[in-house]
Amino acid sequence: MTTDEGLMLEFQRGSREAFEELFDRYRGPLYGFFRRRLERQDRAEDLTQETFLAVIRATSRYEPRSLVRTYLYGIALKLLAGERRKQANDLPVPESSPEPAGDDASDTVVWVRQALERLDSTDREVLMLREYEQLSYSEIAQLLRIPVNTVRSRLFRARMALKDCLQPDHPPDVALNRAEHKPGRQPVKLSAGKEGATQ
Amino acid sequence: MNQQNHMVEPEELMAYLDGELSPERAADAASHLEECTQCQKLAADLQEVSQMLMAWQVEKSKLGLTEDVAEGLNKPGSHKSAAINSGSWLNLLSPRHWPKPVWGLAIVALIAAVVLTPSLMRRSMPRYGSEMAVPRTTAQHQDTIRAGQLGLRATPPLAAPTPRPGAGALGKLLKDADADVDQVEEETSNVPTVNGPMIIRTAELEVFTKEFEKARSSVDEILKRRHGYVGELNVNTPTGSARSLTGTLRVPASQLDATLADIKGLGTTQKESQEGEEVTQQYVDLQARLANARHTEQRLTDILRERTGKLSDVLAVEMQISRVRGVIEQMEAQRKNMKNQVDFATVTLTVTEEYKEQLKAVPPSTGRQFRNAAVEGYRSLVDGIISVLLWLLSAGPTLLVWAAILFFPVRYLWKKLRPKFMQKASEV
Repeated sequence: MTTDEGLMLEFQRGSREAFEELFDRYRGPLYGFFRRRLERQDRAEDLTQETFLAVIRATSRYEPRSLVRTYLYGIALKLLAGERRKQANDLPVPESSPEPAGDDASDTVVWVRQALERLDSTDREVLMLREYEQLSYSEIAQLLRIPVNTVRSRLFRARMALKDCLQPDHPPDVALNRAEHKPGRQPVKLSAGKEGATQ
Repeated sequence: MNQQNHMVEPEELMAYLDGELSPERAADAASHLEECTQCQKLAADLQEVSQMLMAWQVEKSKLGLTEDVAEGLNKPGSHKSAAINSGSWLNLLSPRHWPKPVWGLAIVALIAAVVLTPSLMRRSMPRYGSEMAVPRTTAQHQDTIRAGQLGLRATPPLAAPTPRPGAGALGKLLKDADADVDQVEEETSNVPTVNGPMIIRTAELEVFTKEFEKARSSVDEILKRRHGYVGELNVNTPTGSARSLTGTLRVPASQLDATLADIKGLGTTQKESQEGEEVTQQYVDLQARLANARHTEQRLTDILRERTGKLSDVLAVEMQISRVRGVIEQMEAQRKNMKNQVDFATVTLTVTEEYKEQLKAVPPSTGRQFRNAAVEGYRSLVDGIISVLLWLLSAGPTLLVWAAILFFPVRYLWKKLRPKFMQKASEV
């Protein structure tokens, strides 16, 4: 199988198939990246498209100095930062407004989201890049421009904070009844039908 | 956790579980994990956290790549327009994806465009270049630099992702498209055009000739006539065997066929081969990348000249300029080398003499043989004397020194042992 970098170079030479392959490989992960971080599904789709649009624009200037995956998530992070700046300028969204990643979210998912929200934003970003985007420590360090050891310490801190949330004697969250979610402490694998659920 | 009781730190244990630990430390961590119950519990907790996080799965994306977009992608320089005009990218333009405020903004933008277009048409202002003259915030400036360090030279829309006030998604996309088209036009205008295919031609010839001296001089004449030059030339003239000439000749590509015909006239052609490698695409790519790099350098220089910022930002821009300058010079050298290879074909030539062994039918006379023997003997004698003298001169000083050192000890021993030897001799 051709590597991402090989596909990118082929696309740079004008190969349509290479771009299609890259698109197929990364549309899901990038959409997941935006979807977990934004309230609105349509904005997640738009920003996913804009990420690929940016790749198309910058094709001639691409140099294979870093992994394509890092390159794409670098673009995605910048677009996300822009989106957040834009949202900050707009009217604040109420806390109870639409929930990301599925209206039919299970209790476990709700608990995970709320637990993540309680984390420090920098720790949360490192944790999400590791757990959901499956990036290596060095890739995260490159993206966030922090040392690898900092990535490791932040990741550990975030995981320990989440582990504390898992403790039975942890104080219940305002919007979360721990007693109801104890069964949810076991890993819950959502069905394929759920993955394809619409908002 | 008491660190003194554990071979690995908790963070290292986590890195081990993530497969991010060095092999040496990973082996330590694995062995420690088998024995330490505390670390086993920590590992279980960490894995439980990861499994719990995995419960949050998002719905599958419906984004697709349509045929129209794919066709547009295949056209060089038209990626942008194709992406905007059709396919899944059209989703961005599709009204059903617009939030209500965007509808209002779009209508306002449309009205504003109708009203302001005539006045804008009258104004002759530079388009892409003027965008660079507009001061940007320090944050945006830093974004540009950082994107460059990532291997991505951020385009203006990426460096400033926040849309302008009053412009919706449509306006932003159209603005981006306009800027990109301008950029492509500008870059295209900077790239020298290539007339016809660019082919690096090489040929190899092996020729046998009866008249080697004549062939040797003919090679020079041919090169002079065809405006070529010698890349490398070696002539071997061994005694008792055939002479040969090997060399690399560079002749103008247009003169290659005529040159080969001239060389074949030097004798019998034993081997001939020709190759042609088309490098048009590589050359055009190189030209385009060179133009882009120069454009980048110009932009960075403008940033350095027109913007103010922190010292770290200035240093970062300086470093980027230095890096881009290095890239430009490297690509310029590649371009010149490639052009030289295209302009001048390379001929690898081997000319070998058809050697005829000379038969010596008349042996030398007896008197001559005696004379030769006498001369040889005299020469050997002189050579021997000279060799001895040379040896004495070279080894004499060393021998003298050793003789001086050993003289007194040897004389002492001789005086001491001599009576004993004499006594034994008398007894016998």
